[in-house]
Amino acid sequence: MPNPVIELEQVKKAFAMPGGETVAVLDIDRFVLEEKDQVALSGQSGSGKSTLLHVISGIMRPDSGRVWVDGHDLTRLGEAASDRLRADKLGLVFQQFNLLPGFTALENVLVAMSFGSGKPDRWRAADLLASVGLSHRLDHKPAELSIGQQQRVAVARALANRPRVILADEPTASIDTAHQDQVIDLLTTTCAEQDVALLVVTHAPEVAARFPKQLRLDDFNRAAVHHG
Amino acid sequence: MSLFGIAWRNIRQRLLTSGLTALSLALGVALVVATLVIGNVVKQAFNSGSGLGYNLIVGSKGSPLQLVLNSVYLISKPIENISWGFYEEFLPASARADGVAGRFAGSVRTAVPICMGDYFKGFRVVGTNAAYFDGLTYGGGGASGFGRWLGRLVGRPPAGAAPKPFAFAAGRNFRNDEFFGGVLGAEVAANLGLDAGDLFAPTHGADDGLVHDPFTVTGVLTRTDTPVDRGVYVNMEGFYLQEGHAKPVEAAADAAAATPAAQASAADGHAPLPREQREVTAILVETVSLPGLPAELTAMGLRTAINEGRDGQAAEPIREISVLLQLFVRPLELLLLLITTLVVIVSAIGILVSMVGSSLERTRDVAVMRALGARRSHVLATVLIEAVLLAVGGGLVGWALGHVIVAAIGPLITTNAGVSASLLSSAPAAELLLVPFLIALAILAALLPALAAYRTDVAKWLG
Repeated sequence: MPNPVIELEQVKKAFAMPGGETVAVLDIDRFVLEEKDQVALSGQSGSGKSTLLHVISGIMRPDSGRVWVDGHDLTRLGEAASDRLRADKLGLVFQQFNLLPGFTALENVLVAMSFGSGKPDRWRAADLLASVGLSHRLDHKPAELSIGQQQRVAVARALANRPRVILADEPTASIDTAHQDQVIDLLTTTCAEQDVALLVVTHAPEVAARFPKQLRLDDFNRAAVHHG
Repeated sequence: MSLFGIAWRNIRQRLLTSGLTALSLALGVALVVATLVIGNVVKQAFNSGSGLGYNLIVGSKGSPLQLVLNSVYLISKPIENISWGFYEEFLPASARADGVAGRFAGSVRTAVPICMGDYFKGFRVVGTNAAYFDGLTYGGGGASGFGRWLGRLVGRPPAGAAPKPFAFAAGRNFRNDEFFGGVLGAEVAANLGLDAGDLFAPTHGADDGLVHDPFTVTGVLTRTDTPVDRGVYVNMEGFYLQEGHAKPVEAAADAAAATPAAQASAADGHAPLPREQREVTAILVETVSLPGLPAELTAMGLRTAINEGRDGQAAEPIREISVLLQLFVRPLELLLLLITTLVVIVSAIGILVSMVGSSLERTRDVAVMRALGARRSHVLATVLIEAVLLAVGGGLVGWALGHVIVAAIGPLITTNAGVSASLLSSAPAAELLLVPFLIALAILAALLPALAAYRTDVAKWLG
């Protein structure tokens, strides 16, 4: 029986607006991502998709409720422990890739390794880049790589610390349609090969359609429905 | 990748900004180092003078400080002369033509006359007798610990604290009957490329003055790290025979009545100048230790006795040097300290401006690193390490540059202040303090941008 790697229970998150008004963004009764799951989570712009990823990754704390990552209750951890858990258990892929511009492809992976519990391993970093087809671009800086290659570095970096889950926030939003399929293929294939669960947030139905399991945030986020 | 590696990458990423920050810091540090070293060299030079092997200087009435500056450091304006007769009061019976011991002879171990007023290519010429190098000693000052260490590193013998007899790197001391013999200080010989056997002709009153008869270098002294290194020492008998050096005698005292002062004529047949026509600029006196009394007390008594008379004054070099340090060197040090403090503050502001500027650029990077799992302490440390690397890098370049500046302006300092400054001159205590000081300064300056990085709102920057 599969184990949940991400579990949310009674999670609420609201933001205070400049006028003093409070806007609820998340109101989720229960959300579960099983190990090795590959899920596309779609929703309209502003429906709370990114906030949900920030809450899952510990970047943002929920106002109430519980968040478990690989069995660890994130909401009970201090900030440093939460950071360490994020480094060890979660891999993040961003919409803008967010590679560190002053670092080479190899160093971008090594930087991620240096924040995890293990020691930075040059050989493993090179292997990861080779597995996404970049063995010939190890010493290139992001500006010297194509957009597709940058996204590959971002995927390799997300896998640096052998995470349990990869959280990808609109990974295809800033690339053309021709490359979208390549990125989704890369993510799904790599995660399947490495037994890593994948949660991709997207607003594009054609991207969501590529996943065997699709969820709409509006379906289980009462705040989004309420807003909607 | 270590935090050190990340910080180093950040520096390389902003190479121009980082380079300019380090350069501005390097220039500040260079100025600080040059100022500190020159200040220390001046102080050391004065301290080294206090280690000369005499404890009293007798000269004409006037400023005792000027007497010391002239006689010990070979700088300042020339002073008036004292009579030969007064000099003879310090001599034992055996050294006097009349066979009677001088008034002060009982308190004196060695009395060395010096005559000044001539120059040789920018260096002061001192007329004296063989006792200067045979009877006096030097030491008790010179290089500090760090300087000695550097000295050993480059194979230069350090100046010791115990009094030492003068030694010759080449040749020997002149004999009293070698009227035209001379001895060169180590720096003079090195600067002018002269060696034993070479000839040199001093000039009268200034470098462009009347050219005197040539003297032969009988010896070159080993380095003493004292003002002696910068002196040209000639036999005073030859000195007296030069034009303008004989005191005009009154009509009544004609040449026939004149009494020979030197005990022997020159080996080459020159007749010595009669005693009535002689004067000396100063007498370097080493006092004896009377039974039950230290030499210092004898010197004090002798000084009082001389100063009560009308013939001249006596000054204790150590006392005058101490006054000099209090009056001039300490205020100079304070001024230098003020300048260096201002320079350092400007440098700190430079680091702060640079780090604040780069912190705005780096905010997104910090947010990304935090999202990858970096702790707040990681980003704080990275910014601080970056600042320290810039400070230490800029500081080291500035340190080297400071010494190059000292070496470059060394000849100018020597000419104007009579103090020797080179690439190896140092202010060890202050220079060693500079490193931790720079690190502390860098941390202080980078604290604000480091805290900004520490507080970066990850969610906001990741959108």
